[in-house]
Amino acid sequence: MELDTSPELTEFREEARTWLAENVPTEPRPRTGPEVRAYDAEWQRRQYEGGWAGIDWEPEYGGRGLSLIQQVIWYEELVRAKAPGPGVFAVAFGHAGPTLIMRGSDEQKRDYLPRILRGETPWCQGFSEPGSGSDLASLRTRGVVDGDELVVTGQKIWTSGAEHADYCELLVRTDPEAPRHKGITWVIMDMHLPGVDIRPIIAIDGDPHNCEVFYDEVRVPLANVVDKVNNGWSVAMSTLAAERGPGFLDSRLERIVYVDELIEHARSTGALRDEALADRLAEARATVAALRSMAYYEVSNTGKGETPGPETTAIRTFFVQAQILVGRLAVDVLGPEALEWQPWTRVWLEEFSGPIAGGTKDIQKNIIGERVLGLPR
Amino acid sequence: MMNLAPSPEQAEIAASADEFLTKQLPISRLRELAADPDGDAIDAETWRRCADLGWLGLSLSEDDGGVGLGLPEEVMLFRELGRRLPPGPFRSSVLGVRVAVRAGEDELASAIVSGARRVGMRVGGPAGGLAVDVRPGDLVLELDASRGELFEVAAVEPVAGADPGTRFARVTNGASVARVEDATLIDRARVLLAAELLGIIEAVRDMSAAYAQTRVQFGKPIGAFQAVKHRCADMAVAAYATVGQVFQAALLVEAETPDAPFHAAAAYVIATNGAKVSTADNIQNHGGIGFTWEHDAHLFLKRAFLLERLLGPQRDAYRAVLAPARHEF
Repeated sequence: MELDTSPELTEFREEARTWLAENVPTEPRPRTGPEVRAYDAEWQRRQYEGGWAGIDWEPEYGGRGLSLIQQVIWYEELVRAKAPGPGVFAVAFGHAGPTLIMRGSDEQKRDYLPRILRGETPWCQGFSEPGSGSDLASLRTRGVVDGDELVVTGQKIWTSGAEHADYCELLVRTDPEAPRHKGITWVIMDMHLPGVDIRPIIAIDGDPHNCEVFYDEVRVPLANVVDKVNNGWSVAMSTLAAERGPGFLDSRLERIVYVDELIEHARSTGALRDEALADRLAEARATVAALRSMAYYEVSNTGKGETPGPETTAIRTFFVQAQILVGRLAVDVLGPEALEWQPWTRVWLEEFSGPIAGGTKDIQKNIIGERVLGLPR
Repeated sequence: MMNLAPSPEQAEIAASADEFLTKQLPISRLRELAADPDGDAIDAETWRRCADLGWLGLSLSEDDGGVGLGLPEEVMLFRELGRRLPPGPFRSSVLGVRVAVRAGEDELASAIVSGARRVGMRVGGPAGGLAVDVRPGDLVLELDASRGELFEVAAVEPVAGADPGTRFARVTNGASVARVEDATLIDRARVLLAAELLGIIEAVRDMSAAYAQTRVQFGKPIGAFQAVKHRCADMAVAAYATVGQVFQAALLVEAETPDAPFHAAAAYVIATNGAKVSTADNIQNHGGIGFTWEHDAHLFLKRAFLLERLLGPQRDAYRAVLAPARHEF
């Protein structure tokens, strides 16, 4: 435990802050339609040209290879500058890139990583199926090896951003006879191939947040398989482990700025004089402050090149609970006005996806109970 | 920026405290005291040994008779005190000696830090009649948002209290012996209490997990049932959410940064809420045995209950969290 006042970190923060002040887009991000991808790509390209793409990737892969502490500072400065998030590139940077770096072939790395960095290729995640949500290993989308191709048939669901994506990290069952964790393959799917049918699902807030994707005998080169055929479960675990680092920290820290806005609003309208509401705002501000200190604690206890352990699942669990708390608080700060459709009403609804997407809160608590506390399955 | 991993030296403070408390002040000692309401909360010999270990002056400079470390090291100690629930006026003496030092009362300070004089504490600041850990001849500390003050004790009328490990009394102040205008005292108090609460959360997390692994119903350990498993997981989440904020607050308060009061209050709020839920869930996880006097679960519940109220209304901490215009990065 010590304060780090080294000039290198101070300078780094200053460098980030200065660059962001000059480069963060001023126009708001569109919510739907092809404009979304164009907007995110432009912001990503600007970060790439400024040397800020792939801050956590090693220089040999075109990244900046920053220390974990520097990554945290960068995310703090992004949030402080109210910069847009990675948007349609979230899976490419948070999932696909790290997975290819850990498990991909040299050729796959050469082919895909530079295009991710430049903001040219949005990815999506094809894991969940209608019958395979929390029980992911029960997935049934088929992959049949035919010569030097894999023929994919089946249905995925909750694929966020599929309509914007060029590639999908797709899990398919290549050996239906093998034990269920042993017959799965992680393959790079080109979303523009014939036989891929993408249907957006309108979500609780009226926007299409994710899609159903149907695959009808889609032929993918076997060279697109990451690691080996039938070894995809282990690759998928690498993908999910990448989530535990500071990679998605900006989306957590955004709530700090959001709660500050709620407090500011409550102050300006006089709602803060309601003692009960003020108490809740204070609790929310303390809660989101803890999100930041949890990140510090995590990176302080993670050595370079180490993957954070299962105890850090607590960060995500705490975060999704905070999302729900803060989302609801916002509409309570607005009072009756929240009945008129407005941004905070939308946020309240959007936050319901937090404890469901990417592994439900319930599954996370199972993981903590079993892998951290040693409770039986 | 900061490193929140305890250094080997800081970890050693916790390890040696753990070793001492296990041998000298196990939780069974607390029970013996609870059974003897007229007895001393902690005997003179053991208290002097704690003083000799430097526990009462960890964060005081060596010139002031302390060890020359800081609040982060004190937090490592108080986390262990929360885990082990030893009786004795630790937190009030550590805060009290600081008041004496800041007020320039050097003799008084060295009497406290050496264990010769003990400091109890008024509950909820100056307004309350109730105090904890005060005997005739001790000092009583009053703490509010801008001031710390030590008084001689004019009269002590013991009363039954909610926490068996703590002595409660109605206390009348005698002469004021040290007074200092110092807004950082409440920050230190909040961080120390948050550290104790962190220790409590961790202790009941481990207690619940151990029980859930061994208690069998319907042919399997109850930890296999999701309802129980998730309550245990909630405790692990509460502990992980609290530890970083407490460590961060300790560093910032020690460095007296502008955002220190905010982070100290946030640490106290997070720790209080986590301990309130975790200590209650721990009783539920144990079923009937958790409702008994014999089991330790209630001792943790009650200590958390004390720490939640000791500094006055929670709302004071909430107001400190809301005070800054924004959360500064």
